[in-house]
Amino acid sequence: MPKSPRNPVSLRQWLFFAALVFMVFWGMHNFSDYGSLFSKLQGKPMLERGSIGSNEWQSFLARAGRPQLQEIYYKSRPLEMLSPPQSNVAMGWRWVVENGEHLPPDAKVYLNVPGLLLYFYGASLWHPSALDVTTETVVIKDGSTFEKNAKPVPSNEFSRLLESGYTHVVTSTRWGVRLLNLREIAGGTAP
Amino acid sequence: MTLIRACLGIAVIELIGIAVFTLLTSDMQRWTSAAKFGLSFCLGLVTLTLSLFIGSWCGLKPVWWFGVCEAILLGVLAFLFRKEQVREFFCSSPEKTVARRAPWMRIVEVGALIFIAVTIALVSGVSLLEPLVEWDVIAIWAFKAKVLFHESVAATPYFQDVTKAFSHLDYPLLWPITMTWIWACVGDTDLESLKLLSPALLLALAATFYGILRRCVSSFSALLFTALLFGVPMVLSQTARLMTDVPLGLFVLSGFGCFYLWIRDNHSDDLKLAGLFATGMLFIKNEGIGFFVIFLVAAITLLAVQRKARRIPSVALWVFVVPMTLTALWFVFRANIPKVHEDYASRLSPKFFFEEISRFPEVLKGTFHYCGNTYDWLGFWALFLLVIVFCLPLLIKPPQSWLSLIVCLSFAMYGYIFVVSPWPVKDLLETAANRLLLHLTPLCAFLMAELSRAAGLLPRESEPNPENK
Repeated sequence: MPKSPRNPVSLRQWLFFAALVFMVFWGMHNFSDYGSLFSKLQGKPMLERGSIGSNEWQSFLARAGRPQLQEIYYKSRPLEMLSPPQSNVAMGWRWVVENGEHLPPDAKVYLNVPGLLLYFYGASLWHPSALDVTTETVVIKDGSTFEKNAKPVPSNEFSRLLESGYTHVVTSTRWGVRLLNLREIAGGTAP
Repeated sequence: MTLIRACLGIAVIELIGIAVFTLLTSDMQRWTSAAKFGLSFCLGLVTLTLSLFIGSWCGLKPVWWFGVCEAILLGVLAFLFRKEQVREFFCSSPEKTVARRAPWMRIVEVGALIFIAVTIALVSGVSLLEPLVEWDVIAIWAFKAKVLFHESVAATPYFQDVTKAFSHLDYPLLWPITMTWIWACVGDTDLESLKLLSPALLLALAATFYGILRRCVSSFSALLFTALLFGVPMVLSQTARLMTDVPLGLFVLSGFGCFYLWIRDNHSDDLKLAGLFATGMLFIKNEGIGFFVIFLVAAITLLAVQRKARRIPSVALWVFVVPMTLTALWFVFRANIPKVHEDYASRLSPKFFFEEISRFPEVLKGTFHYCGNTYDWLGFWALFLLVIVFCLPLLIKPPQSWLSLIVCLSFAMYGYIFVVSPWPVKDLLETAANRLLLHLTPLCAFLMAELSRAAGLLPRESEPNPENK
């Protein structure tokens, strides 16, 4: 056992030192976690990196601090190897970022689909473009107030949104959820 | 180019902090270089964000030259009035005799240093590659940052818009304004440049933790405990994702750490720094108000126990007057924001607590469950518990007793809130437990190191080598 020249190290000091060193060694597993995520992200375009980062099945960071999610992940890992489940968060993030690139800053968007995630992400990532789910001033603080207060407009009444100052609408189409320009719809150029 | 501009934004925060540090403190010899740079970053965050908030309140949108002018102004003041301190900031380190260390101690030190450096490099690399994706950061903090980038707080309708109440309109603005500042330097609200805050935060946490701890223990022990803290996955993941819990944890560490150093060494510099970091606690998260109350309780208890009347004015000034004055405008502004979320303040009365006391066993059980989650914490909390049990008599012995009191009150505060909260315990723990533990992790690591030192659990360096004196 090595000794310091004047202060011999006692057994309990050795034991405590060993516990600390063990903890630091245990922390080395972070190297492989971050290293593999780094190689997964490197060289990919921003949208791809964001999709991976927000995907709880592909990025351990998206599961960090969420024990229930971690439990689901570890239980379904064998299945995940065969066909990785889709992540709503990742798809939502990508959709909002992709569509936000073409949105003018003065746009006023009406969210006509029941997508809490799209509302939360869109309101933030599309700002200063405005995003609403209702024309009324109501409290939307969580999922239940969102569901209660969101007022979808039938597609044959989109002209009403245009009259209310909205420039775009997020709506379900046969090709999936789309961000449509209301003026183009009125002019008959949009699907 | 974007990254360079973002780097300059970080540099301005650091420069402002250095200027404030030199203006505020008198004796630079007491701090290692790591401590000076780490604490300066924290001071820079507080000073810059508060001044940007005041500017925004006056109708000014955040612009890069605002921070640069502030850095120049404070720098000139520091050069004019604290020339010696400025010189010492960059040139001096504590006058310590060089202790003779066993070769194995040197090897461990180098190993710990490499571990910390590799960890910071890897986490920073991932953080820079990954754009802003974290749900809470986008929906709450970056949303506010974007609002403040485009409009001043005086002009924007955002803070009255209840359709955006999901983003918690009344949450404090230190972290959003920091993000706005980076965007102001870059000139665009892109999702990548912001992530430069993550390496800056990691470096500041490492430097601050090591620096404050170095005032109490040897470099060998300080490096070992810094490595321990930087092995905790929760600390790294939440920093990489720019969650605001890490900067709050940094302010809790620096505020209470400096307060503890003041109790131990009775040097006014430490108290001044603690006061400014308490300001940071108030301006970063609502939980910071709770920590500020604990700060007040600890200071009042200290004055009552020590019965030193001459200490009262300086304590009152730095523990209460300065933090409250600096954040007064924020609290006035916040009072006019509509309150639509659960009102915790009205549920804080003991009546509610005793009505809901049946939740307590579930809260306690849940806390142990989350602390024991090795995916997020490895064995950090198990080791903490072990040290507490082993050092039980030291918990009531000054000066460590003051640090123990602060940590105990912090856990008690969170336990109390979990009991009186209107949410089901299970849901609340799942969303909040790990984050709340994170606020206390650096301080608990500090307490662990200090107790271990006092209990003689850490190998000591040998007597100073006369030749190296």
